[in-house]
Amino acid sequence: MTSAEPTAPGTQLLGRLLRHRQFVTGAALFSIVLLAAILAPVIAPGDPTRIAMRLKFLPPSRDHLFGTDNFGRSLWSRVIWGAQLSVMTGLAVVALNAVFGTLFGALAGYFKRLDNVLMRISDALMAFPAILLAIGITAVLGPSTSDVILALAVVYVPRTARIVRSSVIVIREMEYVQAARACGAGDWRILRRHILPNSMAPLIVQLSFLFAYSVLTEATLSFLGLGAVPPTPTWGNIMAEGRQYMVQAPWIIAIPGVALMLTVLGLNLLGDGLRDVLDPRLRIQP
Amino acid sequence: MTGPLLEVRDLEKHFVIGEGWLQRQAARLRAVDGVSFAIGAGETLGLVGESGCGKSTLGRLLLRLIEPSGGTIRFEGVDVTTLDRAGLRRQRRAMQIIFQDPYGALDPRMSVGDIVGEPLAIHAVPRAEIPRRVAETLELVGLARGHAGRYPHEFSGGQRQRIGIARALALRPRFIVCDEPVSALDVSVQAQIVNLLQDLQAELRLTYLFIAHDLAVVKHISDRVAVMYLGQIVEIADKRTIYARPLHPYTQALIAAVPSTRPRGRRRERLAGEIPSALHPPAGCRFHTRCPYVMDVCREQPPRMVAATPGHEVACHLVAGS
Amino acid sequence: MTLLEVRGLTTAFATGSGDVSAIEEVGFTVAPGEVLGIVGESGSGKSVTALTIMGLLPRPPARVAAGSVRFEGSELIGLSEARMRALRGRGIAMVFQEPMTSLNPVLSIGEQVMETVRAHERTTRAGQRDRAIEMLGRVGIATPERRLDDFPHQLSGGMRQRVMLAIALICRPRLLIADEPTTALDVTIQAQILDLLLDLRAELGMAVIIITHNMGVIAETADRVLVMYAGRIVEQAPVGALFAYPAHPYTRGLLECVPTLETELDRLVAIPGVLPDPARRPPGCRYAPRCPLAIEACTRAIPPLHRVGAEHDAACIRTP
Repeated sequence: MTSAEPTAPGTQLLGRLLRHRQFVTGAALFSIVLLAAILAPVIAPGDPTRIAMRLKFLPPSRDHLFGTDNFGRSLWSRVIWGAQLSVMTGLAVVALNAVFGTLFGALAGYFKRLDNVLMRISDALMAFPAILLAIGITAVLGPSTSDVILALAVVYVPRTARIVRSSVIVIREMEYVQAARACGAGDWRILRRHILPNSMAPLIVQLSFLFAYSVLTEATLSFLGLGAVPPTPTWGNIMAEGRQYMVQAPWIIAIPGVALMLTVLGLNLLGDGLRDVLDPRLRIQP
Repeated sequence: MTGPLLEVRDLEKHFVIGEGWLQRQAARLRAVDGVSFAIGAGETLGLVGESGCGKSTLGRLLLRLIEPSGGTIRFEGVDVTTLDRAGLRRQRRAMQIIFQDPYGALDPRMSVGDIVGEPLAIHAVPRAEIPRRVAETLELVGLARGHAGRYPHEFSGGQRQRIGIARALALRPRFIVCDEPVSALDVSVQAQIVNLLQDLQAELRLTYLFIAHDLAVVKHISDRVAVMYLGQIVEIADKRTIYARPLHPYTQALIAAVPSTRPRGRRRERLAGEIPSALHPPAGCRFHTRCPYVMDVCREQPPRMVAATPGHEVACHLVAGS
Repeated sequence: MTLLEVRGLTTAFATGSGDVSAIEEVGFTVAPGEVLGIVGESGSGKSVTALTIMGLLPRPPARVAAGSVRFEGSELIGLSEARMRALRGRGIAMVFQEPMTSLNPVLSIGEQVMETVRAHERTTRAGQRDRAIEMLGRVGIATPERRLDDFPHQLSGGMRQRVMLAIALICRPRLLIADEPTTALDVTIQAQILDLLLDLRAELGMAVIIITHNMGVIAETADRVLVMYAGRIVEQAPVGALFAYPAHPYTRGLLECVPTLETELDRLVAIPGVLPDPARRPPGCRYAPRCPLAIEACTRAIPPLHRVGAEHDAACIRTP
């Protein structure tokens, strides 16, 4: 007896996602940030680094939606461009993790001989607290956004790889993989067609949380002066500069802080939703 | 064809459990410990036994899904154990397997058509050909052509098992290992699948190794039956003989333990004791710890397989002595 | 006096597509010391029936929509959780199919057996120990005083099932519900456990409801049998009558499609089709789509149970 709506597993999951309240809320929040990042040249034209001393410390108003900072620069411009930088950082880190985390995780999970080597290396890397390692790397390489991305990738790839590895280890033992081998499938075919597609769920959930961590860590690093060099605006360095003026112009530190919070919150809700829907225990089993 | 289709001699599989850093030799699990038998073309050999007897491992060894530790497997005269990767791949066209779990045996992300078509794709069947052959195979197992576009989760347990059978048949193999193919199904569906397997055997001239723990189903579908205990075959005979005149005490106990719908009085001889761990099998005859007829020689010397009558082999000192 | 009386029991589950009844209008009685067998395949509702009696279904999403369960005269449906807890293990006990997951892996078996004693009786720890040792011995575990500190993973499947029985029976309940107690066990161990069950029942004078899909087990253990299909009882009879004169086509189908060691058939007589989806059941008799005797009238209304022989009822309009 077949069910009423024959659908591919992917379509079914998508439907479930779109009905999940947290996912939709998180996706909405994050979309706002994403849109701001994409549309930055349109909605915040003009140079975010342009100084106009006569306009300094203006509170938010109709002319200057987010007010101005100590150099008279439009905070609206700076925060929007900062959003672009945050989103790009997050995307880059996620992309690097998707590629290298999957690669190392799949190799470690499937080939037992590689497992030992790869996991010992990953253990060594994971022994360092993420932030400290990132600080160390950027301190050595010098402050810039690409160094932040590199540092975050180095820090998180071992963790991502572990997650992929766990999935692969479980799937590797499933009977449909044995069946594929019985048909004559080679290792690469099995990895490509059977193991990786079925291992994606935990990875996707992890990547959404990773996006949030990246944005947050980038802000932290640039707050500490290890990220993009001023005057390039990042939420972190805007907040760093705004620290001194917390009493006179609290919006300088508050607004990027709120933006950061909403972004991370949105991504976390999105991730929760993904996890609820993609968790294999809730999968379509009779 | 001269000679049996499949001939197995002294097949062994040992698992080493618990290797430490320094590769200290820990326990050795003798999952399959010196098994020999032959299956003729078109025949069904039933393989029964309880947990730890190694029957599932044996099935997978025949296909080299697990690599044997020793012994030979001759399929149509060719020693499968010595084939290289390419040769093994070719061999996989002729020897296939059906699994027990209809839920774990199908990739949930692949459509039925992809699942059944995968063996064809692997063996370089022209792409244009594949949908037609998939459709034919689906109809062979009692499914509709239209099911090719659907996904496993939309089907019942029995139908999923049919899909698994279709996958095994896609390349029209000559030999199929049926590893408990009906144990996970409801009884009314079991009968359907058993009938299907028999029909397919007749239609496609298949040879089966039918592994199961349900003695009645095995008796129904097999021509000959082998009984395994702790990695070894203890008795092998044609089905009527083994059920009417079982010689090995374990076979007798197995048959006596099956609950009958026509019970003759409440009490029968019950086999006492637990099944020993395969890690530490008893010395001598492995069954001696539970055998009601145990003698001194049983504790010391493992019995050899002897032919009690032509075609009926038993490994038991009681039989060998007489 | 009947020990257990179930009448018109209907349990429904709230699902995405509305309420679905898992069992409907289930009614039967169990006399003290009797063994009642409930036979059916997956989806028949036999486990749901047992869990409803024990009050073990999560509510929500489960809900007893109708009916009553009277144990020793008192109504169980609607009883507070505290009162049900007092009853479980003491009045009615249950053992399950999977001994691997029914025992807590981090507690010793001694602890788990003693836990039941602690819940129902006021005895000292030493007293609990003694009771546990005695019970473990009763269920056939050799040197029980030494096995008390063993953990479940150290025991085989058969041993674990014996421990389950010890836990269930230590407070001498009047009724034991055994849900597929031997399905997960090897056949020689299964035979031992069934014998044990019958011995204990004779010794403790308790009634047993044994739930299984295996007709052979029913034949060997039950006094009376209920056959369930798609959430309803389709036949009930004394065990001899059920096997000699099965009245409902489903019962007959079941008996015919299962091979036994005695039968010699070329082909099994299979029941065509599959169980109906609980959310989309056919109107009328639920077995009609698969029944060789079905006629148009069968699809109009669900046939009620009616008498076909001595204490023998069947829900089929095609049997006289």
